[in-house]
Amino acid sequence: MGRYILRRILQSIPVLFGISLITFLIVNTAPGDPALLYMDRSSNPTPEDIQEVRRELGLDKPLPVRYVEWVGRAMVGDFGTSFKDKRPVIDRISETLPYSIKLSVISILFGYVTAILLGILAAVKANSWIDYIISFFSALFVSAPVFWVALMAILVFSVKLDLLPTSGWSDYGNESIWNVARHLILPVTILALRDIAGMSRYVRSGLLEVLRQDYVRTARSKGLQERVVIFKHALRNSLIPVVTVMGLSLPALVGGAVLTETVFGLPGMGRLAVGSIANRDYPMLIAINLLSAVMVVLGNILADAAYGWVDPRIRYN
Amino acid sequence: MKRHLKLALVFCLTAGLLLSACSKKPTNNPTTPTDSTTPPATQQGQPVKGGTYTVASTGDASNLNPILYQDTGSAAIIDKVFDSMLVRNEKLEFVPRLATELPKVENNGLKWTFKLRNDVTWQDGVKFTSKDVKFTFTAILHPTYTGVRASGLTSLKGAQALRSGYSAVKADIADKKVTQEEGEKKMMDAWNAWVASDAIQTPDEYTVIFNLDKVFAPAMSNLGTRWIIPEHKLKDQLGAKMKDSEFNRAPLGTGRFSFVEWKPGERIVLKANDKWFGGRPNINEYVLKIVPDANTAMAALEKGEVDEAAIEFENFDHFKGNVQNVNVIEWQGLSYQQLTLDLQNDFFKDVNVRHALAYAINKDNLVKNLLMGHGAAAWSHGTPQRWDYNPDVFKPAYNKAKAEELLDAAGWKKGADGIRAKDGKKFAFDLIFVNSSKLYTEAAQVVQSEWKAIGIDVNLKGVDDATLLDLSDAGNPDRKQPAVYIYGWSLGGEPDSTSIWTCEGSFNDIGYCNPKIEELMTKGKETVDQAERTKIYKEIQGILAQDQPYIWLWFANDIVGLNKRVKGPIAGGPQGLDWNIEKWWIEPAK
Amino acid sequence: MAEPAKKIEQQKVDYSVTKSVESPLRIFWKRLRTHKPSMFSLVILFVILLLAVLAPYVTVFDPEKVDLSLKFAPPFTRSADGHIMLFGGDNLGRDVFTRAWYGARVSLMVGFLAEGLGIVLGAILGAISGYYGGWIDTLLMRIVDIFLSIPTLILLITVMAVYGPLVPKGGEKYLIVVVLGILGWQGTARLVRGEILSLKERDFVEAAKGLGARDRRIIFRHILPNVMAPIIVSVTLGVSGAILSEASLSYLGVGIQPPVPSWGNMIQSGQNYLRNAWWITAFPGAVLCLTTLALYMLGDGLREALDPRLKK
Repeated sequence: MGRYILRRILQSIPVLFGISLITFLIVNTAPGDPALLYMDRSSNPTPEDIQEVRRELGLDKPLPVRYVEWVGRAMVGDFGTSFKDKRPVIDRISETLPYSIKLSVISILFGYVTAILLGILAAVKANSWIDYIISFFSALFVSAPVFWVALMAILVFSVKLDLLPTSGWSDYGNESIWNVARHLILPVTILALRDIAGMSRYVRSGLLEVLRQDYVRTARSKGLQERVVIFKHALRNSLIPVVTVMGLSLPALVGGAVLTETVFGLPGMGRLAVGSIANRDYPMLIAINLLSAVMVVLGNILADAAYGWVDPRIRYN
Repeated sequence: MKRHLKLALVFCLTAGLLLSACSKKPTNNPTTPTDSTTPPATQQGQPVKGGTYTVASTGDASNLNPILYQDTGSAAIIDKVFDSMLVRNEKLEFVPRLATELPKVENNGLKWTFKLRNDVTWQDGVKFTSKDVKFTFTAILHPTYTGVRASGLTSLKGAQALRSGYSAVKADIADKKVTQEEGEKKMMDAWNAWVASDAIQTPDEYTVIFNLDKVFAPAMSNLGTRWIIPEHKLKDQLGAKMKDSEFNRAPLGTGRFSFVEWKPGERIVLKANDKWFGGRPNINEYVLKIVPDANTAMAALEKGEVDEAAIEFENFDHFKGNVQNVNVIEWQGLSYQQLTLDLQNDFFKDVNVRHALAYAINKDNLVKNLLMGHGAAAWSHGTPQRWDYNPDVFKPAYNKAKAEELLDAAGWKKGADGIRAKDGKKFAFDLIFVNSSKLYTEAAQVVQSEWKAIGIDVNLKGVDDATLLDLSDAGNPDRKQPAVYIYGWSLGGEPDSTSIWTCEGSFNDIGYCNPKIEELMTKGKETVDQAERTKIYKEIQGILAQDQPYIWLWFANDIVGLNKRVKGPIAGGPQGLDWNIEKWWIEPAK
Repeated sequence: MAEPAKKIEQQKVDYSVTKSVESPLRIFWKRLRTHKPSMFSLVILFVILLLAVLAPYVTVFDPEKVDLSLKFAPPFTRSADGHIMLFGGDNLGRDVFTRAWYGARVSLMVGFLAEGLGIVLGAILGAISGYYGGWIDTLLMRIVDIFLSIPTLILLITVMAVYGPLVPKGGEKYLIVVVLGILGWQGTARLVRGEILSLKERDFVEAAKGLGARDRRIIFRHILPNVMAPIIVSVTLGVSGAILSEASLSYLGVGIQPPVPSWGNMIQSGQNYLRNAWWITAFPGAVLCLTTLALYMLGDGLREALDPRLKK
């Protein structure tokens, strides 16, 4: 197991290089000279002045050289200096990342627990009206645009019903867990909705499939209670497809977090990314893309490792 | 919109103004019908000490160092933490702040003497003196200074020569004529010599004397309204080192509020400065809360989560009519928006064509429907809020027939497809705007529709701020496509606009060049007499309107909602709505 | 390492349809016909498609003509020339109903083309990878891993914000198609590769090889028809995903540029006016939701139709 994870981590290194190269190329071949954006335009800059700013921003060297230099520095954790606020990129990211991670982890936990419960309910009551309602809302939320649902939720729950705060991580000067929780109810729910909707379908069909299998029939015929059959025998096997999809849903989660953080004004990395695009903050953009990818890759490795737990038939070697 | 404030900021710098006077700058204007004067409710009662005042801001600050920052978000905080020798009041007049009186001008306008207060301390208890003032100016002219303010100081004696010297040495270093070390030493020697010269003198702790190379009318704001930084904190961090200074994240000033904390992307917290020489502000704590989405900000205001938020035009009626806990304050701003014509392009070289394009646009309709009545049509480079405004300029009011007539006469004939053409070339171009702004996006579509009606084929191009700056920049070699750009300028208290309208002006991206304007701009800078200056700038506005290098669109009003618990002498002014925030107070909850 | 994932996929859905003598697609359709939600979704999609295609005949309004006198006209307002604005007027007085169907044309076109491109790319690369194996397979699957690890939305916004302004008039929809296609082929590639790996060992492929059939011929004539059914399922979901991506981009202002309507930019143009005129946002949003919902339910039905074990 440990060796397997180590191997996966080693294998993901070329993947991360690929990602860094792609984002580096896209961002750096972009038309529009960031030097113009970040220079003193008031002093009638000469072409030499512009070249000077380019040099300061590290834009004067040929692209391959810049990439190699960048990789060299990134290896030791130096992602360069943000064009915009002239601080180390890593500082800005380490300020915002904890918020994004908290938001995502809470959303994943909340989403998966809810999805499993709803999935079980739908499977147990298969083809009943409860199943149909769950199916319909799953279909609706898996297909509805996140930004739209978020706006509607603010309108209904914050503005009209006045139940929850509209934005932010907490009220100023009050970072008690309850205050933060109140602020996070809407964003977490919105961010988790897609996972809930998608995953509950997988749980439902996985469970239905397992319930038809021989060992479940055997368990049932032994006269075990239905609850015991489901939670002790069937559920674990029916979670296999859930774990598969879990890894694949991570990029979507990061993307969803961009929109959710923006609409709800949370100080996370997604919002930093949107701001960096408008500001042409290249070092920041590359680092954020890479870091999100690292999280996704790690998530996938964890998901793969989780197979071993849910499905003992899989052996890592 | 944000970018244009930034653009505007940079412009203000060139004009030698302080950023605070240039950004989102409000004034009360009793002549505008939509203008609402300060609701009397805010003035009732007696000031109470205490409370936290929370402002919703769509953007974060980026650098809180007064000589390095470049954006309005930072300016709003810096304005409260730092002081300048002079500030402008709500009538755009200068009043002393760190100075005891307005400066004494001698030697035919070449010698400016500022007397400073002797009761000012920095927020860490160190005494404020004339050394700090001198330090601020010399820091900006340091050879490796990384900010954008040096060009505003070139009127100081020897400063222009000093900067040219830097450029020469830097070129030599680049050409490897001297080594890096030698070059740097050379520049430092030059700087040290300049610092020791008589350009800025401090005969005693409370007197600063500036000597100029030539008469420079904007010097009052240029020298006086600059925020002063503490020498004792920054003297070891001059030049390039200042870029990475902790000071930029945790500033220390003499101002009304002192810095407490900054959580990037979330909030900035200030607290009342007990020792402020003008008396401690009533409000205990000032919190700038970052709420990037304007709708979310308004919802937060409505719920009482924040005390202040900008209100967009379409929500004015709702807040005015339905929201009990909010006072709506509206005033005409100092900024205008325009259609920027690229005069280097053949399409727009003919002044009659420019007039035709202007006649085709119904500005009143734009104000009524897009600004929802919260603004006024603009006709030239001036603002009714400033003393030099010329209301009697050429005004091409909506007249479609006239527009078509002018185009026909200019040789642009309608083809079979309804599009005008001349010499086989179709009248078709891009209209480029920032599409993160709802207002610009709507205006672009209306303008497209109106120009289409007179036979001009307009292609809309919504871009981000960076791309607009890049596309509209005159230095951009890729700028070959004919295009019109929508953006705006935010004007300050100082009317000099050399950088926009002179042939070589650094913001003259459109290639406008009129010798008469050139002459008047120079005259305007060298004329100290206010009445004389007013005449000059009125004439400039008249000529610009006649030349129509821009099609000026409108002045949009600023609208802000304040929670009713905020009391005090509240009125929009050129320094912003909260220019006198030290006098406000928060009514405790009952 | 995709090994465990592949195992699971195969274990979960064993497409044993190929065992039948009838063409797999025909059986597939037969099963689908009995699935009510799918048939209902098909009808809805057909109606939406029809309204989109026939938009110029469905409505008399010009989708791009600004008329400020009809700004915020509520639903059922009569315009000056007596026509009823069913969904009301938008922030520039244009008919929301008209724009919703012209918007549908753009959104649907982008959705189908982008997914089509993704499927073609995915099928080709997946087939190559699965059929030839070896270093080609390793390389292609590593590339798939890279793409699957990219948080696509951030990258999409970056690419559109940077390159969008460069494309000529009306070209941004094709840029979206290409970018979405390039970012969206990996699922299909994995699917096709997995199918081919399992089919490769089966008798009929061996037989064809034994008869001396060329590689390309084997892929296109023998293997691809067998993976059509699962591809169709992923197409419905993929189209829905592409429509949502386009809507997100246009909503963020980097997708389809006004005055050309798309559902995303219509929602964006109305979101600030929810209090003044909810219909600007509500109707395009509703049509968008209906479309993606119908696609999703159709995909769901198709999946069930594919899986014999879920047959009633």
